[in-house]
Amino acid sequence: MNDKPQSKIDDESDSTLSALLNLAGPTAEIPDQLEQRVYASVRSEWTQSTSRPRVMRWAVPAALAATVLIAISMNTSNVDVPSLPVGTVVANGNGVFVGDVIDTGSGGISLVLDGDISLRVDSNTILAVDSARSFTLMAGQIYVDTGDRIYADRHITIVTQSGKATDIGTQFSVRYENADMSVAVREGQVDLSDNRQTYSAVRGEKVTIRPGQEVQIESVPIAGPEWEWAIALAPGFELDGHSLLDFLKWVSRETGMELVFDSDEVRAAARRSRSYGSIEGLTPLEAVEAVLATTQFDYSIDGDTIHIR
Amino acid sequence: MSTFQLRTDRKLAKSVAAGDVQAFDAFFKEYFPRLFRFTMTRTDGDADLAEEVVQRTMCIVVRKMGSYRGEALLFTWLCQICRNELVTVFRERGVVGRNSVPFEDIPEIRAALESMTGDPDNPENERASNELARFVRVTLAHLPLRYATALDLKYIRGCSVAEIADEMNMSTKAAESVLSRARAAFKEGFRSLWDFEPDFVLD
Repeated sequence: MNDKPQSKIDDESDSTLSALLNLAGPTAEIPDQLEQRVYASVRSEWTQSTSRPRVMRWAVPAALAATVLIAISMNTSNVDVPSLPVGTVVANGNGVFVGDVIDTGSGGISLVLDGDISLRVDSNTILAVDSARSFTLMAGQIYVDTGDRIYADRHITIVTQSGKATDIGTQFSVRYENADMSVAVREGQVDLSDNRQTYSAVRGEKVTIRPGQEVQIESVPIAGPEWEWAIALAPGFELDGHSLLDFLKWVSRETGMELVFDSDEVRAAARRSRSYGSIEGLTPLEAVEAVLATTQFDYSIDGDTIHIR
Repeated sequence: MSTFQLRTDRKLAKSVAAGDVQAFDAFFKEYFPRLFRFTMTRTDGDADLAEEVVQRTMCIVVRKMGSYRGEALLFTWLCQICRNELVTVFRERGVVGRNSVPFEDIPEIRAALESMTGDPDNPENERASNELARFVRVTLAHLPLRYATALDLKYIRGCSVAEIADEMNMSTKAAESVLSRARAAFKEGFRSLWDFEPDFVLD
């Protein structure tokens, strides 16, 4: 029987515990990249096992690049009521379903979600489809354009292991790499939250969350090289049935450049004009050159501004 | 074995098997670090090898999650599968496992501890010390993550209760409670896992 007073027993016990724990040393840190890799693999396996998918590979031509290979896990569960797609792949019209894991290889992919929301997935990106309006970005970069009007049902949420971004309209990118999550906003506002706080990024801002560090906020141009990869994956514009003004607004939206008309009369004329044909395979600025060459209009580019006269 | 923990494990497993994304993330967040640290103790700190083993283990587990019956703790189940994968991966890579029967799985701890009280320059004492350190790490890996975190903050980093509360985003009272339960869990885990009563005072 132990005759020591309880307080002495507690002290010795605590001392022993301390000695044992210090013998083992500090808990080893696990590198973020390692955790990210394992998470992506296990998540992919889990998604396949819970939705019994097929893994399909096919060659899909990207907007500008040569043929690339992508893999998408397709939800083919044996439930009698077929699930509706939440969106389609622009290049081939295939449906995208809840539960799919999109794993792009050397090329990106462009999706259109319900409500005409453009979701562009960069190369070397893994993105899981959680619902019609929520996605988990496991690695890489995506770009979202929810349109030039703010509707309640058009909000998109992008989740990473470091935080969550929800847009309040309308154009933004999310990048997740080495546990760093960056949200860059071209238009509108995006609320970004980690486990502690919510931050709002507005037009021309880029917010970066790094685990264990202060949030970084910096300026980002809304036109220029930062967005070129997303422009390259733009779904394209159907000239038939649209005015020249509609087309020019699309160019402005995609490039982030300001559209300026010489006068109200020039703008009104652009609204009345119709263009025809195809701009498939052309960048937005190449398309401006090609389309305006067939009209009475002329244009020039000055910095981040397109002048129409 | 905690009935509460078993109930929690069964509920989590069922949700993961049903395709609940939040449940999957909660499962990964809780069990990946613990399983990785457990595996590192078996791979002599080889992170690449541990990564491969843990990835294979967790992929098997998520595939079979629907068959988890809750007869053992979820982490115990994970470790069982992990041990099998360790053997497989060692064989595939032509690696000689550190021990066919790890030291902590055989009842020689008392002898090792007794020898530690002797000559500190004796290599056998160093080996025993290293083994004991590894036991401690394995015990910590078996604890819920918040318990291991609390113990690490208190005894390794020397944080006060207030600092622990701040770090773990809880009240001071809650931090005291977590620490108290963590101590008890560690002692109970160390004692019951190894079926060992060291020559220390562990109440």
